[in-house]
Amino acid sequence: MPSALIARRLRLAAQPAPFVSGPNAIAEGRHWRTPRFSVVRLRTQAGLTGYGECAPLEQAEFDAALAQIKGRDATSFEVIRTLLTGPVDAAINTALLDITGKLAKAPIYQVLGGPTRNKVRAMATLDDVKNLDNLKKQGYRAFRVPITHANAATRLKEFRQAAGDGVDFVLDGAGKLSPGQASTVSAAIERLHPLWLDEPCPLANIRAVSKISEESVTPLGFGRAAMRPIDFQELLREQVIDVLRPDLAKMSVSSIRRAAAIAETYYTAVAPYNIGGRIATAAGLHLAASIPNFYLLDIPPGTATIKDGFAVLPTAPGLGIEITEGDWA
Amino acid sequence: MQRRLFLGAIGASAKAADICGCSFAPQAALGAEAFAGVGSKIKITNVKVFGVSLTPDSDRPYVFVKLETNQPGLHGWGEGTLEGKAAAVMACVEDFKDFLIGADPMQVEHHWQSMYVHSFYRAGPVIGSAISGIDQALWDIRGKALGLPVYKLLGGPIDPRGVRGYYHLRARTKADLPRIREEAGRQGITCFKSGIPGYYEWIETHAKISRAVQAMADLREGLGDGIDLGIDFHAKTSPSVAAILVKEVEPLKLLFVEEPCPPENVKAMQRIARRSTTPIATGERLVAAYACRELIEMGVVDIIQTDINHVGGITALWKAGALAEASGIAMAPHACEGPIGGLATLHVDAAMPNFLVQEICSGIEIGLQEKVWHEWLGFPAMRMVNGRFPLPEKPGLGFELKEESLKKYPFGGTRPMARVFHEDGSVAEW
Repeated sequence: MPSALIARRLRLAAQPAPFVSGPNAIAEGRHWRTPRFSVVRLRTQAGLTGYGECAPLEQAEFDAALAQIKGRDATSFEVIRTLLTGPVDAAINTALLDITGKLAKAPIYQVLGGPTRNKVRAMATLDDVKNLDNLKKQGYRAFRVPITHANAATRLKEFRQAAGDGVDFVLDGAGKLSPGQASTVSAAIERLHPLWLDEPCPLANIRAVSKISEESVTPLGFGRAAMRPIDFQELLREQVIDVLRPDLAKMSVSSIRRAAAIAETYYTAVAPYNIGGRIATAAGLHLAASIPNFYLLDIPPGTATIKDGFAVLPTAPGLGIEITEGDWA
Repeated sequence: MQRRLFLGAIGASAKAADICGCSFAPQAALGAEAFAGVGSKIKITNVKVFGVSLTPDSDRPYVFVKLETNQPGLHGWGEGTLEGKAAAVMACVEDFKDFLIGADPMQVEHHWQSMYVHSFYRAGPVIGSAISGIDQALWDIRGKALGLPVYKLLGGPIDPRGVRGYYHLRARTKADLPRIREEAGRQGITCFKSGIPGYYEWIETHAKISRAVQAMADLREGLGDGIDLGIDFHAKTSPSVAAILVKEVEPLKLLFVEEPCPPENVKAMQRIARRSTTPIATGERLVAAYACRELIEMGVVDIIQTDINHVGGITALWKAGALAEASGIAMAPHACEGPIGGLATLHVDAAMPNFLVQEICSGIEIGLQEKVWHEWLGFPAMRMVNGRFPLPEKPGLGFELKEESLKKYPFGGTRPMARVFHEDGSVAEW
C-alpha cells in the first residue's frame, strides 16, 4: 500500500497557504483566562474581531497557536482546524466563525448552511430538587441530574414527581460508575424513560462498556472526554452510544460538525456538553442550528434566553451576542 | 458508419483493444442478433408509459408501463409507481425505450441484468421503479405467450386458495376497533397493520414513549388476540427510541414491527432487533436483492418487505425471497401503489415457500381507489375473500386493461410526498 505517497500528497494539500496579507488576514490575538474557561479574541488587519471560548489555557499554548495562524485568512476556519489540536482549537474556531459571520453580515448558522431549526432545546443542571421551581421559572424543561449507582431510580422518580408533566431528565453518572454498576442502573431505569443516562462510566474497555447497551435499552450519552470526531466513530461502531456529548470547551464547532456528520449515518443525536460561559453557549446555539441531528444543549443559566424549554437563536452577524471584554461571567 | 465501427469490437474478436481499455464499444444492435437462433420470434415494438392520477393532487400518481409486440393482441402491463417521483420514473422508462424496442420479451432475466448492470451506477428508487414496471410487463407478455399465469411459471402455487393478506387498520379512536373487528370476522380478515401516532425526535420523552406504547396496547386490546397485528414505525423513530418501544411491546405479541429505523444503516437496525423478541420487518425502500443481502446475511430481521414496484419487479422480488428463504426469513411484500403491482406481487407470493402475508394499502371498507380498480379491471382487484387474495387464473399477470379507461384519470403531475417538521422547525421523518 503506497501509504507514504498518499500521506505526502495529503500533506501537500493541507500545506498552509502562503501567508496572506490583506484585510481579512489574522493580525493579532489576545487571551484571557478565568477560573472556568479561557476567552480568546482574534483581530483581522481590517480590524474585525472575533471571540471564542474553551477550557482554561496556558498563555504559552495560546501564543503558540496564534503564531501558527497569524497572517492566514480568517475565513479559512477549516484549514486552521487541521493545524491546531486541543481545546485551543475550540476557542480559535469560534473566533474565526465569528469573524466570518461578521464579514458575511450573517449569523454563523447561516454561514454553515442553516438554520436547520428555529429554536434550541435547553437543559440545565439540577443538583437539588429545591432549585427546580426557580429553573422552571427561567424556562427550563429538561434537567441533568447527578446520580450514583445506588440512587438513580429513586432520584428520577422523586424529581419527576416534583417536576410534574412536561419536564424530562438526563441522569448523569459523570463517568464515575463501573461498567457493571452502569449496566445495573441502566436496566433499573429502563422503564422510567429518562431522556438518557449520561457518561455512565469511563470509556476504558469499550467492549466492557458495550455490555451496558446490550443488556438494556436506556439510551446512553458519552463524549465529554472526546477530542476528535474519530473518537465518536469508535463509539458508534461499537454500538454503545445514543447521544453524542462533545464538550464545547474541548472540541471546536467545526470538529463537532464532522462528528455530527458521522453520527447522522447512525441516526444518532448530538447534544453538546457545555459548562461554559455566554460565548460557548452562543457557539453551541449556532452549531445546533447548523446540523440536522441536534437534540439538546446544556445551557448554564444566564448564558442565553430560555422560553418554554428552548433557547432563542441569535440573529445578529457572527456569534450575534454583545461582548464586554473582561466581563466573562 | 459509427455503428459498424462499434460492432467491429464485439466480444473475442475485438481488435487491438487499447492498453487503457477505454475504447469499449456500445453494442447497440447486439441484443436481438446475438440470440437469433435461440430466442423467440416475439419482438417488442413499442413502449408506452402512463401517468395516472386518481385525484388531480395525488402525491402518488400511478406509473403504468405497456409493452407492445409484433404478435397481434400480445402486450404486457407493468407498474413502476414511485411515490412523489412519478415524472422521474416515467422519464427513466423512456430512457430504456431504445434498448427495449426490437428485443425479445421472453428474455426477462437477460433484460433485467442489462437494465441494471448497464445502468452502471446501479439502481436507486427511480431506476429500480422503472425496471420494475418494465419487468412486470415482460412477465405479463411471457405468461400470455406461454399460456400460463405467472405464478405457475414461477413454480407455484404454494396454496391454491390464494395469498393471505392484510388491510390497514385506519381506526381513528379506540371506539372504532370493535366495529372493525366484527367486520373483519365477517370478511375472514386475519391480519391488520397500523402506524403509531406522532413524529419522533432522536431522543424521546417519557410522555411520548408512554403514549406510543399505550396506543399499541389499545390496538391489541381492541382487536383481541385472534387477529395478527403488524405495527409500522415507518422509520420515523431513531434506533434509540425504537429500541425502547419494541422492547416494551413484547407482551403484545405483534406479528412484526416494521421499519423501526431508516434503511441505510443495517447495524443500527440490528442494534434494535438484538435487544427485543419482537419480530422486525423492513425492506420497502430497497432496490434489488443486493440491498437485502446484508440484512439477511447478518441476521438482522425476521421479515423482508421489498416492494414489487421498486425492488425491480417480479424478477427481483423473487430473488429477494430466495435469499431470505435460505436464511429462514419470511417475506411480507409491501404494496401501496396501484393495482398492477398489487396483482403482480400475488404471483410471486404464491410461489415463495417463505411467504408470510401480503400488504395492500386499503382499508376494510372500500373507497375511491378500490372502486376505480374494479372499474378498470372488471373485478374487485386486491380485495380479499376469506382473508386471502384470490389468484388470477388467466395467463400472464391475469387481467385486461384498456388504455382508454385510464383517460378519465389524467396525469396531474408529480407531487411531493408529505413534509413534516418537529416543534423547532427541524426536519422530521414520517
